Amino acid sequence: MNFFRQFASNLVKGPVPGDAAGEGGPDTPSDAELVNRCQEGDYSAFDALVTKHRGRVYAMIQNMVRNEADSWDLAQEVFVKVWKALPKFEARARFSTWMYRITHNVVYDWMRKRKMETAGELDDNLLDREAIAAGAQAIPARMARPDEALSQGELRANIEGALEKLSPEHREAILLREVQGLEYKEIADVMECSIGTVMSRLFYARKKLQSLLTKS
Amino acid sequence: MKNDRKEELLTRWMDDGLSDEELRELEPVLAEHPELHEERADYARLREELRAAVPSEIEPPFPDFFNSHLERLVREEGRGMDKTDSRRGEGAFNRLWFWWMAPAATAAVVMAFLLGMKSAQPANQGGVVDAAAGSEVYSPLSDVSTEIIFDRESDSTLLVVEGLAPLADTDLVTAEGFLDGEHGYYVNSENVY
Repeated sequence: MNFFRQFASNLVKGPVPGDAAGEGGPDTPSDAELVNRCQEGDYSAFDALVTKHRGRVYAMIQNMVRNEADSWDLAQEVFVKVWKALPKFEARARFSTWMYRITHNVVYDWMRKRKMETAGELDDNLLDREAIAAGAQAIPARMARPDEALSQGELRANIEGALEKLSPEHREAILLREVQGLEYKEIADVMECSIGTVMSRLFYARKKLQSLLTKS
Repeated sequence: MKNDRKEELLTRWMDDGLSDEELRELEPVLAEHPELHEERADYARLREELRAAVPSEIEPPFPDFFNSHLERLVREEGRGMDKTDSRRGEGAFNRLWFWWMAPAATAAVVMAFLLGMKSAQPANQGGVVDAAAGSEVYSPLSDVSTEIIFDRESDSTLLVVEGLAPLADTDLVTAEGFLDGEHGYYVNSENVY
């Protein structure tokens, strides 16, 4: 197999189109349809779900852990857990919200383990991380004009620097709300906390972010 | 107004998510802190910048490999679960069979013991044991039995001697170095070759 040709073809192909709510386009099956087929044991439907959502899951993890290799492995772990838990998924929440919740659990488990492993050690990775993985294809919420690109690079560096200084809970709340576009209730479901806690986290995260960006 | 409620209203106000009634509830706070309006405008800008700068989707490196590797993991997990399930089944199966297998096994052990006693008697008396076809093993000790097992597949012969007293360490330290010939090794208490 030509690995690089495969890689290049996938960069062009990108994720299967579909909005955050998982409603399929005219030619794309919705999440609900794919989930139903998965629950009947259709692996090709799961493969389509993975292709559709891997970009969001990987971005969420990458924005939280800031490490390409770990993000890749954790995204795999998320989808293995999704597959194993799919028979029990009852569609009370959107599939994407449920998936973000699994992502949240996987990331926080990893952070806990990492904290225990590096207790007392200086973790170079936490101090010097790449902003976005070299081999990754970033898909911003909106496309930048060429004349905006330069200043956006600087802005992105500032924003990412500021996001890293937030606590994981504040960072996750901001990312889920502003980048992934989840409702407060959905964020509460993902982070397993009350809506009041979500509000509070967003309130302080925004204040802190603004203060950090003003300084920078 | 309680702090929690204020935070909630302010957060939703910054998201343009307040009803008229909630807006009226917040008005005294906004009147007291006019800088909040500026903060709100700043936050609207920040939101735009966040959405422009932080990708909501990043294709993982090597996306096809991502899917194929995942499929392998899922199948391995599935096999693991199947094995666990079948082991569970085996366990239950064994438990059911145990109740009649146990007496049968005990009877088999007793039968084997009686047969063994009977077949050992001539060897002890004569000191010569008929073993593998065409072979004989002589034992000078009447309470020692010997047996030859020939394995055609590996073309090897196993000599089994039962009834010897355990060897002491001093019995083993009897030689040094390699012995000549095809059985060129020995064991002593200090080194194993």
